[in-house]
Amino acid sequence: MMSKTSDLRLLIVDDEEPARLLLRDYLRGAPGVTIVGECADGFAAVKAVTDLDPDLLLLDIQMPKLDGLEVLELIGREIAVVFVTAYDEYSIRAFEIHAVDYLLKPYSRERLLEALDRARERVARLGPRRKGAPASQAAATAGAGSATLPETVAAMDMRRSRRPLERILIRDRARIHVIPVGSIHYVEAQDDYISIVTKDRKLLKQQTLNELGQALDERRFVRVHRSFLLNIEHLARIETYAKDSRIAILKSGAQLPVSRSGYERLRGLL
Amino acid sequence: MTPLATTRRFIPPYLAAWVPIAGLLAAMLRLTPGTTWTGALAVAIPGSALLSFLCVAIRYPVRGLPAERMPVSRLLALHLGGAAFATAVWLGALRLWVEVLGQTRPFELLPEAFRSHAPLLAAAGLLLYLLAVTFHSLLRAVERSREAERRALELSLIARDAEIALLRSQVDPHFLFNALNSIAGLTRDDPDRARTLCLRLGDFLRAGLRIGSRARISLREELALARDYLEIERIRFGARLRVAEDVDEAGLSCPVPPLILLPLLENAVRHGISGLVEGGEVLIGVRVGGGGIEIIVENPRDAEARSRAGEGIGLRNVRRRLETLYGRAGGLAIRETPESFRIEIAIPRQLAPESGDGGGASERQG
Repeated sequence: MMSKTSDLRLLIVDDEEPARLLLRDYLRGAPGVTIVGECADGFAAVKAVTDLDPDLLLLDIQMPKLDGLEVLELIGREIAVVFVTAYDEYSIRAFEIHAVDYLLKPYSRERLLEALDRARERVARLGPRRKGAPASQAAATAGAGSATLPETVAAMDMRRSRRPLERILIRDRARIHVIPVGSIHYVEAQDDYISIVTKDRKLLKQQTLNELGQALDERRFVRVHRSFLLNIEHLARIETYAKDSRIAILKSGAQLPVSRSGYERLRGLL
Repeated sequence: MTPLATTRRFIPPYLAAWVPIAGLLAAMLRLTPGTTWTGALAVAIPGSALLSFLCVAIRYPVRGLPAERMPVSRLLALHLGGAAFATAVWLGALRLWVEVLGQTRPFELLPEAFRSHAPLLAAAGLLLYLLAVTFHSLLRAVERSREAERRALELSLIARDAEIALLRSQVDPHFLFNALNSIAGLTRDDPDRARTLCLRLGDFLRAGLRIGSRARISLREELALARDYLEIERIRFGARLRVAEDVDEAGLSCPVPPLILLPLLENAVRHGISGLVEGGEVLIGVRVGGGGIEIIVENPRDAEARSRAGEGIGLRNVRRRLETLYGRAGGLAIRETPESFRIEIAIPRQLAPESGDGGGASERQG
């Protein structure tokens, strides 16, 4: 029962020290629980999940750099999570992305233990995993469980799309790039990837152009071509070469092909 | 100035009131032997028509004069002078008309009759003109007092709204939830800090309730409340929240609306400091000058944070309260860069006079 191998491995993520103290205090002496780490911001949390591979996240929502929901998006695989926050306005979104529980600060020890019980059930359902396996392999194994990786991420992106995306997060091994959508000049589809082009960077993300297009503000980003999504704030002019053959010229000088239907969409917007 | 519809409604009764006046004028001219009714009416009708027009036209000079801010003697002199001038113009025009009429057959005696009654006519013209001035002044006074009443009611409604909003929203409930959570977190590991937090929270709530029910408090009191607030947040955020003050002591006695500074600090902590891993310094500045004080709150923020959707409710409330209370003399300005956010509010030492700008807008009537 108390054996370490079956312990629920927890990661505490909260930017406020007293809030972390409370969790530690409540968990002191709780059976079957190991705290594997503490993080004070979203970046650290994403890294810690990779390094420590916890079973459960106790996750604050309002934090520096990345909020709790963005942390989950970047982790990119199904992981049991209990949100711990003073704000109740995120509860609907939290349950939409299948949070195990949602604790409102201040909460009692009983309430936390109840959440941990639910988390145990969830972890059991997520399927057996090899302890210490890298996250990517673990995710592959989790595919045999209730949800597969691409589905989860896509579903999350879709749900977020109710409010247009404000920034794009790209995880590049240990680094996390945060790109405000306003700084994007255009996005190009490249096989399974999309290439996001800004003033001085070109970043790859594993996502389809369709998915991203749906998540972005459709009044700012126009699908000018099957393979190109254009930020109209960076459009300089459109040149016509022949009937139905047009090129969009950006303020940066970049040139993108414009299809006929793309031109229609662009005209509808301008 | 006046909507045509309301003016039009008054035309028939107004003209009707002039019929007996025209009759009286004609009867007066008839007193001279040899004048016929036709002759008398030929003078009296255009004469009273012209006078009736003049009596309406003075509405505009009457409204244009800032009567409340002029010495009575000057006002009286102006109106008497105006009356004399208007009467002279009226008599002159009438005389010209009579001379023209006198050229033709049945009206030879008219100029004679006119001359003999000229002083009487002048007196009548003067009297009617002054009556009209009085009437228009009275009307204006009534309109003004109604307008003032309406404005006072509006102001009191806004003030009461603001008061309710103040109690409900100026103290962010999440701030309380987080503070209580911090107390719960500290009780076992750091009981001294937990106790300090309880005491500060008590001070803060008590002062907030006491202050919130008053119309004005001194800046000193408001600053004390602000420090309590920051003390509580400092326990929550630890070394991430640093506070610097640059306060001109001369401004401390200045009366300010209660809880006007608190939303600015909440904004600085919630949207500035809490978004920075390393935290930062919140600067509170007070400057004296230009007939009032200026309060400045500045904080660093994460340049990469998600874009904020304009001004939050807290800041909007502050802006509205300042506008309601001080008109153009008070206000809120925001200066921001991607890395910093700075709010400046201006509070005049005195309340602005409520009807300070006797401009066109207040002249309108319903």
